[in-house]
Amino acid sequence: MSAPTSRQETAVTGLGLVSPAGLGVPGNWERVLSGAPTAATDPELAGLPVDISCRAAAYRADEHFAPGQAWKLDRVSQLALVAAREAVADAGLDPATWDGARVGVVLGTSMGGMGTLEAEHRRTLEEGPAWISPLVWVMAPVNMIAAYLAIELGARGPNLVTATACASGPTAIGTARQLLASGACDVVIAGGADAPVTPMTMAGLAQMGALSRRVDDPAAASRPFDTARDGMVVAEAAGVVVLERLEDARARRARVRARVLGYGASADAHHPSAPHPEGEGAERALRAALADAGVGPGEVDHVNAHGSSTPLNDVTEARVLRRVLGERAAVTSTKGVTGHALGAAGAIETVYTVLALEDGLVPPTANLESLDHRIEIDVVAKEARKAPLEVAVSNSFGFGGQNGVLVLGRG
Amino acid sequence: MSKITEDLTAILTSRYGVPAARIETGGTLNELGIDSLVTVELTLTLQKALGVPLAPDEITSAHTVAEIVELIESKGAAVK
Repeated sequence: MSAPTSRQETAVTGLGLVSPAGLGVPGNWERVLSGAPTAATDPELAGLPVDISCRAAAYRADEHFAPGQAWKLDRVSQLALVAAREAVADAGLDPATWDGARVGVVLGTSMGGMGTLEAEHRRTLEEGPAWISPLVWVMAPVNMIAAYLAIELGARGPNLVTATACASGPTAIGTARQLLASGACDVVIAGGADAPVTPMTMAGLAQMGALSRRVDDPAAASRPFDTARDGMVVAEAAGVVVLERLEDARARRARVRARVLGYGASADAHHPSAPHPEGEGAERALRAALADAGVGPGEVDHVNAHGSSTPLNDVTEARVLRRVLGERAAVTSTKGVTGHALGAAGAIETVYTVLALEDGLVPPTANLESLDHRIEIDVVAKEARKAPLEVAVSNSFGFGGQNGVLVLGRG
Repeated sequence: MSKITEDLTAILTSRYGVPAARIETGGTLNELGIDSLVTVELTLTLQKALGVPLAPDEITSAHTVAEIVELIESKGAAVK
């Protein structure tokens, strides 16, 4: 049985970012191209087994929200709003005049308002139920990230959050593309946000063995594809894209920054946290995305890999890439710079992939000094590489064995 | 201005972002941009800051600042 393909062309017309690599798209891109890592010792994690993280340090709430507003929003929603404002402005769209009922929002997240959840849970136990904030269930739940975008921007179309762990970003963008293809929306604001640098999240991830223990040398901790990698460094971030049907974008003379050519998703159906040993699910997601795009494996010029810096993922993913795409594509993992922003990772990496296509530049994989000998693909290291790029892939693989892959084309 | 009014004004301006000039002109919490959920939060803040016991529904967003001051003073909340 051959899978049906949806060749409906989708344009990316706006980009927005807030991440450890910077506030705003230009600053992010400069930092990612430099290959300078952002991981650092985190005073708020003092006393935990792993006390390093990648913070969106350039973000200051009071520079983006009126007095009395920011505390009513979990940090994850603040980051999502800041990235969304940038993306909508970049697209040249004006929420004051658009037909809001035709504008959808699909954002991915892994943890949602975890900081709020942990703080209010602690308050309930320590101070008693009478002191819990009445705002907890409009701040913590995952759906609220998309809801606050709707409220601020007057985006009154379909509004939802996708939760496929670290694949939430591509799941959101793939779902958004389907809303455009079906005609349900004319514009979709899509992407992902996560603010998971919280005590319980970090303690739990450390307990799983997922985190790098290189706490004495944080800048070297996130080192995708390197022989000495020992786990991920958790990051906070938001990445947002504005998507429209290509014909609509052209009709309003919008700047088409890239096209979303294909989306593939799958489940490993194997293990709660470990990837399938042969990357069976990842491979199916990649092949589905290529088929959806109508792109042959030999046409892929660049891959922004999941590359989480965990011992298992990186070797498994590299084997899948080698098996499906061969050796031609220039592969990078920008997580060496940014760390792993969980449900936002695939969204910010989609933005980096768009920028790579625009500029013909593949960012280096930070900290890659000695390529794991089992990895037989072309991983870009040391410095950015100039190359003509027409087609690129962004991989995201989550806990739960949930996989999402996007194929992007130059605008 | 009573001490309670001063404290309430300080809380409304610093944490809740209400401009002091708007508080002086009167109006309900709702008119000052404090909705019903945030009013419950404000009730918790006032209990902690002023040491006065308040039920969660004792202050509503239909109250004015003057009415809230009166309520707190009627409870005999000493200046803390």
